[in-house]
Amino acid sequence: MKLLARFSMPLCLCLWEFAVRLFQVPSYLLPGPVAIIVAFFDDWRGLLAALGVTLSVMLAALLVSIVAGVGLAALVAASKVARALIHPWAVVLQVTPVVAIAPLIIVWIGNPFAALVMCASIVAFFPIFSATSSGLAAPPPELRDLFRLNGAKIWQEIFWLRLPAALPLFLSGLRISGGLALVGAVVAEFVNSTGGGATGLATRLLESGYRLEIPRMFACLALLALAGFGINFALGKLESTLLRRFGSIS
Amino acid sequence: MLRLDRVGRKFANGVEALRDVSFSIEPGALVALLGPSGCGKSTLLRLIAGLDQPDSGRIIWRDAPPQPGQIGFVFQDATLLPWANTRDNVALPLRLTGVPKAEARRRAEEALTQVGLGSALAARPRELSGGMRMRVSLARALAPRPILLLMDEPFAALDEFTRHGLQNDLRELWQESRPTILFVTHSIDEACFLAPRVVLMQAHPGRIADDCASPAPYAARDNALRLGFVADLGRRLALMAVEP
Repeated sequence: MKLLARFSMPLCLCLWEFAVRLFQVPSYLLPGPVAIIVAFFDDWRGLLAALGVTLSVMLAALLVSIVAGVGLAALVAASKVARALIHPWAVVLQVTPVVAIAPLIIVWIGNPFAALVMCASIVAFFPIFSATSSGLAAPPPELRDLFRLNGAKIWQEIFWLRLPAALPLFLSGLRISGGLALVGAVVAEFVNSTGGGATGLATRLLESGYRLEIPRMFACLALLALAGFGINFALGKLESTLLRRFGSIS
Repeated sequence: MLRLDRVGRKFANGVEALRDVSFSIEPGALVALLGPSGCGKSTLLRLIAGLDQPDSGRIIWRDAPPQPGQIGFVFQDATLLPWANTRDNVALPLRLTGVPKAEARRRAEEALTQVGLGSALAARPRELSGGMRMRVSLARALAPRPILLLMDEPFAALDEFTRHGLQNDLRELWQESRPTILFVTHSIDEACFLAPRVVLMQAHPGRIADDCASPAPYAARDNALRLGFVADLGRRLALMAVEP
């Protein structure tokens, strides 16, 4: 079973290559993995540079989402008024299709990098905010009673009890947001590219599509998939390390 | 030290948790509050701790009402902070009340030594057994030197061996330093073994059924007089349960 899990991906790729060759599928319809790898090495500098741009947007967006998500979740936990003010807007942001408002954001903000980060943050913000909000409400009532009995101030309760207790949920929210930030960055780049802005991997994707360089387009998609794996793996490692270090409220 | 005068508490859903509860606790006493589940024992503790307010009656403190940190509370679960080590868990109430870090840690170490965990200062809660976690919880309640220690069925979730060990230790600790303790339990045996005075509660609504002195408060677990008292209380609680 373990063996199957480890070799399922190479096996699928081999089957894919085999099928493409057997049925002589033209590469502008479906290129095989070998053609994709060749296309990548034809322009590896350009593609990796574009990936770097996309990743920098994604990382900046993730950072913004963490600061905004955790900060607003803490505010919501501290005050009922803040909760009534912030929660509806968070939900509005969650259901706002970023494709629809990205052109406006790009026009409003002006700076392309900041605009892209803003768009990706809109997509990545909600899981962190929502998970951290739930986590902040997670400490058992006895611990909250203990804090009350000892005259704890609201900041002591937030920083010494609620934030550490929210860590496990925050980390799982972060893992979801990591992937979403990448998707958000690519979507925003798409919109920006169609408007003429030259940016990251999405620009290369579009460009390859226009030129019918389908293997290169797949190479871009493969790079995105690899970046997704990398982000998921890194955040998963961070999650297990921090939880081992700090534990969670059971 | 503390007198409850016809204290009543009715919840918003209409359930009357307590009616006309009156009794007093003297400084240095160890009083067991014994009754079946749902008779309002925990509600009563919360009222005394100031975590909830009575709807009727009064809770009168002989001196000024307690300041933050002057009431220790031991819950049924140890409820320790899993990310903090033993010493920091015990130091928590002291830090919350503004005691400087070094002083809080020193007093936490003292309290941990008092409950026999002086060598487990750096351990995290998940590395401790259930009994050890409960000792840490007890040390956390003792560290601020509270004027009243409220214990809400603290040993109920432990296995019998661990429970007996902790009961022995608590009785010893009380005999040595005489902190004022109100100990809530639904175990007749535990109440009679620990406390020289047992306040009996009955349910629907929660009220005091009797206030009796244990005939052999410091006797061994299998003392005949004490066993007779346990049997008598058992019969009375069984009768109360069938009464309308």
